[in-house]
Amino acid sequence: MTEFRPFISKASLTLMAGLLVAGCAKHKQPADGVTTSQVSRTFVESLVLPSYTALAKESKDLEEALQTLANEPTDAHLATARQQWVEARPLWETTESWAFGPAETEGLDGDLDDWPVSVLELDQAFATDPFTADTFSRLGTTSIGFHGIEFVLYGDGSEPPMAADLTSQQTSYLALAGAAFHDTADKLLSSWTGADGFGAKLMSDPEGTVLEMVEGAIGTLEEVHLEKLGAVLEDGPEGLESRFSGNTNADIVANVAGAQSVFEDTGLKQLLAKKDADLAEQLSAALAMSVSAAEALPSRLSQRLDDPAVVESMETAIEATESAFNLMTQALETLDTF
Amino acid sequence: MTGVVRRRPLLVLASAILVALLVVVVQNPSLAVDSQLAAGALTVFNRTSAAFEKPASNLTPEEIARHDVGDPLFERSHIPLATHEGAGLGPLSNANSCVACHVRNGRGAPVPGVSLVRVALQEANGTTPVPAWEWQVQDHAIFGHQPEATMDLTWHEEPQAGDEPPLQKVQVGLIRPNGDVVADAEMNRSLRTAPPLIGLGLLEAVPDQDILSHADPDDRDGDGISGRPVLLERGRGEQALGRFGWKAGTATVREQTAEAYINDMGLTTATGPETNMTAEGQPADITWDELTAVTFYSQSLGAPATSRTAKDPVVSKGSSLFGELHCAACHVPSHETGTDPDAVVAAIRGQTIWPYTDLLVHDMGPGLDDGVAEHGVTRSAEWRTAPLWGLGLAQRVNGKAGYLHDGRARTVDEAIRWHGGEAEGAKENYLALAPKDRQALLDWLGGL
Repeated sequence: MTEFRPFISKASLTLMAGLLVAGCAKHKQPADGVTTSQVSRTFVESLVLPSYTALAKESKDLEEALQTLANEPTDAHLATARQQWVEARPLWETTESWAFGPAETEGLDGDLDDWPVSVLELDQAFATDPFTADTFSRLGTTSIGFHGIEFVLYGDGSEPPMAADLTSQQTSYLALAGAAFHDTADKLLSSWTGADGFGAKLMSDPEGTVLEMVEGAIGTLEEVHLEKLGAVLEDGPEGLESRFSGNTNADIVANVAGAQSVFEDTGLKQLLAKKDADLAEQLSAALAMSVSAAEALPSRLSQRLDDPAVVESMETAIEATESAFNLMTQALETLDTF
Repeated sequence: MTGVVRRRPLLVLASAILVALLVVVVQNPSLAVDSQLAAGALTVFNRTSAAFEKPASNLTPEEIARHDVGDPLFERSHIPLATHEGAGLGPLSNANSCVACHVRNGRGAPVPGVSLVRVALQEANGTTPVPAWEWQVQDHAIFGHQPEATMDLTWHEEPQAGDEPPLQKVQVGLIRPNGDVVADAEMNRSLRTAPPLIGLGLLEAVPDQDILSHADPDDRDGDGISGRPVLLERGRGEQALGRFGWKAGTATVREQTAEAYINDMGLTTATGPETNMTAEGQPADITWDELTAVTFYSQSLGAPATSRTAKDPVVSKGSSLFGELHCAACHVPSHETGTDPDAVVAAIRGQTIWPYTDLLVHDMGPGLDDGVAEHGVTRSAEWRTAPLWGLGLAQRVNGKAGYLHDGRARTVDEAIRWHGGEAEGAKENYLALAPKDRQALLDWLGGL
């Protein structure tokens, strides 16, 4: 029997929930007279900045866990490192809807989350001895970040490695990759922070920012239904991001929850409702269905694509997310001045 | 039934409005070619940072589906593969994906990692490729290989006459893997950022004869502006008109795409629809279908509507100044796409588009002479007239984007003040403008 339980820990769910309601109660309804200024400020100050702050903090914990594993490669430390990875992951995936700006234009997205993993390059790097900071510096973005770390922590086989299986090169890599990851997460937070940060720039253009918010959510919903799930049904499991850890389903939940949060937790829904109350309600319902459908996806999708029930759950999630995508696109047309 | 009855008056009213509009359009053709519709029927009504990523309007469902196939391929990060020697990314490259440099399909930033350096040896009669490096430095390498060199960019400001603010210029240092610095005298070098991708299918659809009609290579009309077509040899006495790239070095979007794969990412492409092999007989990294899909993705991107209608006073004033200053002599405002029955997108045919380019190359003077005339098809001071559609969104799409080939201009004003050579007169006219008129021109450009 197929296990339809998302592979996401209680701890990471708690963290993600904490992030999504930071600064505002879960889907708190702002006043009806909400303005674009309020929406853009709430977006930056109550959603984006807390999200990157949480990611930076979790990245520090991940770095420390990987360093500890490198210093003392025990199964307990390996389990802790994996747990830190699983907890950091949704904090990043939630932010996909606001990856526009520095995450994309400064290449930070690529440093944190490039995909697929360059297995050949990592294998060659791990064949060098010793594995030094110079060795690490010669790796491309597809060999570092979340998925490079994931590949080493979980391996590419059906059985994840034990601590004793990790080579000294791999543990050295993990320590260096963790430090680089934390550094990038800090840069991302800095890029949005302060008077010269991207957040301030957005708040100085409230009307434009509202449209950017909607576009960001559209981009996430499109990527989820077309690529992260849709293309996999066409092309097979190789394209499934986070498949080493079996964590794809948690990625999808975080993606659509982030898009939902842009709409529900910033006053954007109320802003749209002023122009088209029916559309606002339909979109709200569609996003909720998309999140529910994502939560129903099982863990370890890559190993279960031959199970009709799993495929059906993916098709349901695709359909729900595509519906939310279409309505979010309508919302953009409604809010835009063209 | 009730619903049908209720709709009838609306239908009648809508029909009446449509007929009235058609009458107005027929009587006033200028309304039918509204310059706000930069890409004609393919205009994208979006001025967010995602504007350049949107498929063109009026694609058929089948065309949208094809566009969606190419989109993830364009974004795909490539990796080295073990299938055969050199398979996959690299071993030498500048980037591992198209989007690494074409950030959100917009202008690239003038920083290492997302831009590249073209190089050439200076000869008496032009430039020649650098042995081993050819025309481009590949500054990245997969693990186990060394890049040809890495770039070290040093920016400095140059004071300008009068009250004009300084202009900045970049010095491109090249450092070999062993740490040796390539001497300045050893080779010329030119930093190149990624140009925006919008409207490529439309530019490809402008008939050759239209472009050639603007050419005046010997300046027979004596206006100081020549405009030279770049004719690329295709063998058997055939030539193709170059229209893509900073120096119009490629003729088609497919050709430009294939060149980017091999030169920028070290990825080989299949030679034709019947084979997935390269010209060298190796399995291609990019199949013919993938190359076709990515090419189609680029061809089916639209261009954004301008921010203001053609009747807006800002547009009237700005576009008038643009003509009076002779900017429009090279930045030719509009073109008609052809009627090619084989057009890649059905809606591309018969459109009036507003790209503000003549797709010809012009001598832009010593200030923009980069010392590199790659492939011998231009002189080093010659540049293709850059299309201006989407100009006002450049830094919304990518906050780090600069203007001109190397991103040296931080603003459109700086870009104009770098013009020289055939554009010297237009620049002088711009510098002579009253401040309010200069601002009026910039305001209009900012809405493109």
